[in-house]
Amino acid sequence: MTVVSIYGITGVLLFVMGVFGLMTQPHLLKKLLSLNIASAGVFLLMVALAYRGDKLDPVPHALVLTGIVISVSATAYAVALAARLQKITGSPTLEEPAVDEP
Amino acid sequence: MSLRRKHRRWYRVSRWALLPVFIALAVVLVQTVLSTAPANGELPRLVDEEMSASGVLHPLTAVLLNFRGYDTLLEIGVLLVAVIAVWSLDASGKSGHLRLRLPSPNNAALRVDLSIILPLMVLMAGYMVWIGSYRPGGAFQSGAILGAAAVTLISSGMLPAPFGRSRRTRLALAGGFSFFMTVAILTVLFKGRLLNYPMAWAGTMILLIETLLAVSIGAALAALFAGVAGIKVDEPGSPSRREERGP
Amino acid sequence: MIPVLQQPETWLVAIPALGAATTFAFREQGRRGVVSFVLAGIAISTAMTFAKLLLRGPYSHSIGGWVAPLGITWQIDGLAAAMILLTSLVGVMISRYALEYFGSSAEEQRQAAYFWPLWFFLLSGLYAIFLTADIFNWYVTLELSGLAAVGLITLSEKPQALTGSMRYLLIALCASLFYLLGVVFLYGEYGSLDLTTLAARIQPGSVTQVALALMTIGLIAKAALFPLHFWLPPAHANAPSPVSAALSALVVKAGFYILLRLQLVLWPVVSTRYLAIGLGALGAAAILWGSAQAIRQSRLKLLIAYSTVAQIGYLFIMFPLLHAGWAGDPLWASYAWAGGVYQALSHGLAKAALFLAAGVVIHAVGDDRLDSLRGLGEKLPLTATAMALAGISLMGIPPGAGFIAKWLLLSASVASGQWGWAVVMILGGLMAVGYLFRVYRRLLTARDVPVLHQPPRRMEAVALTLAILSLVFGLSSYPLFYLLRIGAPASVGLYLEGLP
Repeated sequence: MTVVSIYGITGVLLFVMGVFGLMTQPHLLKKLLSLNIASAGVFLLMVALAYRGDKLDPVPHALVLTGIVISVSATAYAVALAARLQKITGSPTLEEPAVDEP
Repeated sequence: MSLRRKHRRWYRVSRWALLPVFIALAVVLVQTVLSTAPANGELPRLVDEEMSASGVLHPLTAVLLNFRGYDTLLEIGVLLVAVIAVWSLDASGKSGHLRLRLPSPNNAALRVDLSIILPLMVLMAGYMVWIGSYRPGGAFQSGAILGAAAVTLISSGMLPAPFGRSRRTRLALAGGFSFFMTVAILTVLFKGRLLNYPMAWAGTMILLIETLLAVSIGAALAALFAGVAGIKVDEPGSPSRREERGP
Repeated sequence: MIPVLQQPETWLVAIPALGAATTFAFREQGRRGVVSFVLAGIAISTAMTFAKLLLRGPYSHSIGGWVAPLGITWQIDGLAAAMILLTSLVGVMISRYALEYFGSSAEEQRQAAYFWPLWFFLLSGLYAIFLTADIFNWYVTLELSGLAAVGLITLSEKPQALTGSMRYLLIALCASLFYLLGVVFLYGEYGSLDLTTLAARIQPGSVTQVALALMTIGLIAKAALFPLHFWLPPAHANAPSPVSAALSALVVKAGFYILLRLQLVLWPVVSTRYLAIGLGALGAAAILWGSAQAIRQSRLKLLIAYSTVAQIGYLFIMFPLLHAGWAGDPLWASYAWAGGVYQALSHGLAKAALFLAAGVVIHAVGDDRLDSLRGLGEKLPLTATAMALAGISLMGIPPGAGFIAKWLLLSASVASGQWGWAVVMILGGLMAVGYLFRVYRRLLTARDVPVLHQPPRRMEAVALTLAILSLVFGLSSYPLFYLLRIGAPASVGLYLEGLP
């Protein structure tokens, strides 16, 4: 087993764990943490793939940088939205708000 | 069944129901990683061949700002969208979630610390942009340092929290993206292709774009921090502050 | 020709993006001017892109002058142009509507200050999706438009809108990760992100199949295909009305568009018949489930949103039909392809018209309960007409554009002997009659209702224009077929000339 596959396998396992957490954790903050674990997994796989061959491939590195900026932006917005949601509905989960349809 | 009860039941059941599915997914993905073909090395070779035309010496910067510069342009757009969306959630910028206790402005030690650290941070940020052309570094690293400097200023009470939404802040936020996009348009006018820098100018253009991007990225990161935390400031000596300290 | 005009496609992305930055930095100062400028720019660039496509045939634009696989390449062909046309028509109309929609109260002014930058970023991101042919660039553009879309929904401060958009955001981010993981595997296997290069290199194999499956899962979640549709109704129904229109008409089409692109060039090599049939089955389930839910709703916007779930189903029936065509008679593939694209277009126009009309109703009577519609046919004749005309297209009755779409899909399924899809589509049409008549019946009831606020004429006119457009596209199918033929992939383009 090469170094590449060790990192690659770790990457996909992180991805699976993250998505699992996203679906099974009710707390929004835990959902967001799970999502970030999943994206870290995908990024790790990318970096591992860049390591193959006799030459380091700069393209996946650039893609990971782009991915990180996007992930930071989306996470920041999601945290703000979760905080707003808790303020309005009083619950840090996706439970339907107690107010009913008009 | 009410949505509420449905919601709760889902989280009771899902963990066990989904576990086999995810184990299967993990097996398939591990298998896929192991059977991926070896690299054909074509793209690294192409990057190498075209380095001399890219205007920079570091392959990562060449990919980020030149070969795939369009990705970077849009990604700055994503960052800006995030700031706008975060601000839109809390229009006044005043309903905070995080209560921040500002140190007294007369805190001499803090002032001395900041007066040493902040200029160093700005210097470091400038250096990061500069070395990006031939070493790891560039607008993102530089922007992160600038953002950290702004966060330091906010949390020590030197910048008005919630990090003012004045015209000046908005210009700093939108400036990097707008400049990058304008350059993209100008290259269409002069060279007929989006982001096709004239070869002799490529290095200078990239440095200029990176500098402005660094400022915008720094501002955006600080704005996201302030916006997400929704900082509520207790001015030193304000009643709420005393109250919180308790008897 | 002047150099500015030679690359009109670049302006489609650049003008709305610069408009977004300007409306953000300068807020309400000169907003009307900026908006008019952006709309004029979009109209001109769309027309120029069409002219260029018709004169030169399909063309590509290598960004930065770097040829793929090193750089990112745009591919402009008939399909891209059709989606750009839809985006421009709906986009300009929604913008005109939004200029009136946001009133002068402090709350509405706050919404408007954030609506315009997010909306222009959304438009820019959509154009970028339709132009590009780079699988990683699609990830970036999906995130750009997706994040802007969620931001737009939360402009409505209703708790349901916040919960709906939180759900949408989580699904969208997770879907993007599935898509990205697929992209990474494809890159690992073939060393390229460019669709054309990939098409030349792709071979059947387990890695390729897993990669395409991951990307497909991500994209059907973005396109809100049953059973990944559950985020859509609360999000679309509780957003401000111009936003609902944009989401249903345009945003869900983006995921479908990318899937279609991948399908047309990569799947003929690796696809298994069962995957296509699976997508079709989900589409069929979406039609039945969405329509049944629409019939049960008591709020107008929820009804329209569930109708979107159903109408998306038709788009996915296209895939098994395409596959049958590749295995049998290529004529069926041409029918299915033209029908699917026609469906995307006709649904976009009709659904935007319906949501904008619903916005007028809310403006007039204050809420969107179906029962509040009683007697409104007399008070708001233009809006009632808009709803009726848009409904013609959704129900699949001639001369609506939806008729041609459904007729083509039906022909393909009957000709290829796949009766099951035909039965579902006919049932879906009947159910659409069912839920839409629940609206019309109330509109036509004679009752003297007090109209709280007379809605601005322009809002009504915009909804009506879109509804009329959905009929105009149904009058003659020839122009669209002519357009689709330009640069159509060999897998579907064979018989496009022979179509009626």
